[in-house]
Amino acid sequence: MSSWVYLSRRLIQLPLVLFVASLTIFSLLHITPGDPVQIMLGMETSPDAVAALRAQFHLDQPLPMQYLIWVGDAIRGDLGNSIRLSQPVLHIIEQRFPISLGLAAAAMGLTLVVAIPAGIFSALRRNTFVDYLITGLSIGGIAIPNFVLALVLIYVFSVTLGWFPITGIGSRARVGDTLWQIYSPFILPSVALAAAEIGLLTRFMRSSMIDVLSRDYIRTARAKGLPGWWIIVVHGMKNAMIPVVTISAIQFGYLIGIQITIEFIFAIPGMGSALLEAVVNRDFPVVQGLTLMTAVFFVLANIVADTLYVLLDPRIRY
Amino acid sequence: MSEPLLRVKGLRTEIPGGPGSVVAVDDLSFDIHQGEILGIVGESGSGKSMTALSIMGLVAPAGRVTAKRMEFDGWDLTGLDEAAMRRLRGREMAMIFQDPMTSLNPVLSIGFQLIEQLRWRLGLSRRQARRQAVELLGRVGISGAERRLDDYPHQFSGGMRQRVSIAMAISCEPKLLIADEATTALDVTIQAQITDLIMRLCEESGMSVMWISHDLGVVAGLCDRVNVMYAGRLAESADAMSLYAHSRHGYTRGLMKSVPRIDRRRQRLEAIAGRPPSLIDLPKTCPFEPRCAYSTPECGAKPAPRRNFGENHIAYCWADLPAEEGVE
Amino acid sequence: MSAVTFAPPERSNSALSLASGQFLGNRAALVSFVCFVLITVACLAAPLIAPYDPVAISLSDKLQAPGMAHWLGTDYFGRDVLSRVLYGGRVSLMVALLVVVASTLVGVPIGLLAGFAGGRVDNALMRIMDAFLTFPPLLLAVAIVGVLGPSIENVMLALALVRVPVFARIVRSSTLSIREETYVKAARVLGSGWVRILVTHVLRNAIAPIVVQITIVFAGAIVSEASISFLGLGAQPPSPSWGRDLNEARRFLEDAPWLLFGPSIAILVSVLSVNFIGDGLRDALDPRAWQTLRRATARGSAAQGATPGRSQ
Repeated sequence: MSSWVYLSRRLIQLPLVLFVASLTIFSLLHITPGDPVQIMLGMETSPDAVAALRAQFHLDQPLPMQYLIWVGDAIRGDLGNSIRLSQPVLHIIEQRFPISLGLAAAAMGLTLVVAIPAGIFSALRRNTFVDYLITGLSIGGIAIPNFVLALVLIYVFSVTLGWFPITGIGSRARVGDTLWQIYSPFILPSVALAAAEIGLLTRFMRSSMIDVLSRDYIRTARAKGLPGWWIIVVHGMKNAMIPVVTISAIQFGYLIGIQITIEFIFAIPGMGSALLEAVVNRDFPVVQGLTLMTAVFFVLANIVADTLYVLLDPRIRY
Repeated sequence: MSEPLLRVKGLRTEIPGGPGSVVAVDDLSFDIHQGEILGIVGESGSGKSMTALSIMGLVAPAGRVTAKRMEFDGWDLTGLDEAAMRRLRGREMAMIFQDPMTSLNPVLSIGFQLIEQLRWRLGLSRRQARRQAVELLGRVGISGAERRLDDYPHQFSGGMRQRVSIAMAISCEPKLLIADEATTALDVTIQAQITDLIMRLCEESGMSVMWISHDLGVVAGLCDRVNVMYAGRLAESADAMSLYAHSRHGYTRGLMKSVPRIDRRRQRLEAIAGRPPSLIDLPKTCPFEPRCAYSTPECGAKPAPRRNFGENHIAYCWADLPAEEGVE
Repeated sequence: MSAVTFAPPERSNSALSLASGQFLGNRAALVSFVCFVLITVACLAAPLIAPYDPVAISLSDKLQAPGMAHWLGTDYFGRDVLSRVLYGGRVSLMVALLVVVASTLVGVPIGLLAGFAGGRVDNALMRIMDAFLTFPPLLLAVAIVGVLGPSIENVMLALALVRVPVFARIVRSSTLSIREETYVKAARVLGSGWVRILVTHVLRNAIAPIVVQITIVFAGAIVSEASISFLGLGAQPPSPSWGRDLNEARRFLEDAPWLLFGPSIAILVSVLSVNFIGDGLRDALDPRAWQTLRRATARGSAAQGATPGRSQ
């Protein structure tokens, strides 16, 4: 399959992208006046203790050397140790990443389920009241910051109506928990997270569908006397979905990166709240590791998006 | 003569929107008989394609089609709803479009696009439809049809794609085939091949053809009758010989002078001056009058009369045109 | 190349008036523009029109519901919410403005340099820009703020930094396309000062996407600043801030839900209005849009709905 060749070519480029990304994040974090160890230990610590800690975290080495040590370890799967939590950064990622991924998957699933039918419907009922309503809701969803929406949702559905719990994601499931108890904490965070993505994808699906429906081959399909639903589903959607699928893969990669406020509000122990804790504690190895991990995920999602495009469109062959 | 296959009377097609409705086709009447090849000629924007789409019921939802009468093979097209129209389309009347680069779906294999029609419209089984598709591709001159069935449109040349379009159009053996500038987008040598192919297929099956073109020269050689359209209206209608021998409308005359002819050497080609009018709020008088070399004082004042010139030759024109120099 | 007299395509006056006419004809954009001006003026005039001192604590007035004395109620420390929203807007809008200015001023020269120099310089610069784009902007901004320390100035710096690549890319691609065009070749043959001519052409060509991008970055900066302040890494108490105040409101959702109202509406209205202004500008500045509009008059194509860009 030629698309697999394409995918493998893109994956070969991955190390280069990651090299530049890691260099960027490293430089950003080290071109700074503050000395993490000094900040961490406080001002009254003995110089010896500071020096010992510096050596432990290779902070006594010149910057390029520090970078090489970090990257060398990272390649071997060691992202260093947390200064505060005295555990490997990789451990933190192992614990936190699945939770963030689960939330992102829930939000993405919601996005696809809502946005694709809404976009198609909007396109088919173009310039009617329903179309304007969907468009208005989409724009609202895109414009409202996710943490503002989250607060409104909590106020309406948890505080006032008491339908959904606010917290509970990531807490250890106990024997005898109902499915509702396990999954209901995901509802409000994923809605808050998905709103903007639903808005974007709906708009995208709508314009893609309108574009496709105006094409000559749709007229040909009508001239062949094919049923209307067949034309929309087989001839319309197959074309209209190509850019939409691509966009949603990118959105999925993006979701992990914008979860931070949502994880904060709903007390979700994911990557975002881990980053926030690390930032507050000035725990640089953790900040570095988490940011790099998110970038890897983001880049992978983009590669998947490109590959899907190649896979779906027979005109593109590499 | 027997009942025509298609009878159109007072066809009017309007595309609303913007500052005013565009009247793409206005009060058009014509017949097509069984096995007849009718040419429709005019510049772009003269309403040729809109006429075709109106008959096929493909103008909605963008525009509105009305007609005093529009009958096809015993069906009253003016009274049919979309579901009934759909059953006629592709089965009883089929259409080939101008640009083979855009008229085929790029993400579906040509086999799929042929087979879906055979299965939906003729109710063939998967295997029957596939065999039929291979046979159809063979008939339109695509070699190795079995292999090419799973190829996508972009893997074919323009001429080959148009052959695929033709295969789709004839797949249900329609009674009427509308070819809308079917060869315009192709190279000259390919044009001749495709034209020959369509003519051969229609001779074999006895179907009627509506051949739409902007090229009077080609049409005159192919068709039994020719309708010349201008600004959405019929200008002149005659059998090909009669039209060629003595055209009766200023616009037809202008078109003829702009076509190079082999039988005359060192002939000066004359382009028609000016441009076609806007189709919004067109006056009732002859729309060609401003550009016409033969215009008379009546032309700008009163609507052009329908005048008969012998059997089956009509023109909407005030002027008495001289017999064309040296053609008799 | 022969000596050709070649006039670069100028934006004619009629085109300009058409653009402004179209912007004014776009009702959503016009309403948004008025909204945005009102918000800006109200925030700038906060010292004159705010009914109370935004940081004056009055524990006897704490958590009062909206009423005649306090239109939007009071917070846990008895501070007037309306006054805090007005003063908070000064910070939000100032941050957004400075982010736009800084990222444009850095991004545009980088794009010009990359486009003109080509080769290795281009490659190196754009790889760095691409590296920035491999991080979700909010996350990267949080990391940078984390390093520099929580403060509103550092938020500004971080947000400007993560938006630089967007402008660099626009200008670079404009530079590349302009470089190939005939009139630039002609300008080069004419000799003196071709760099200046080139820069002028490039910027003229890129001005429409830059202006539209500015509105997107502006709206994005408002949201990002609010998000980061909400997380406690931006504006520090007691100074008023839309994001920071929402963090406080979060703790009193049961007792004082009205605390949500002021800052939320302020953020939403500013983001929406800037987005619609951007939409209007895009339609007005896109030369192809005029042509299609002219051509569409007969075909009656309806105007596409507004599509604001992603703001978080």
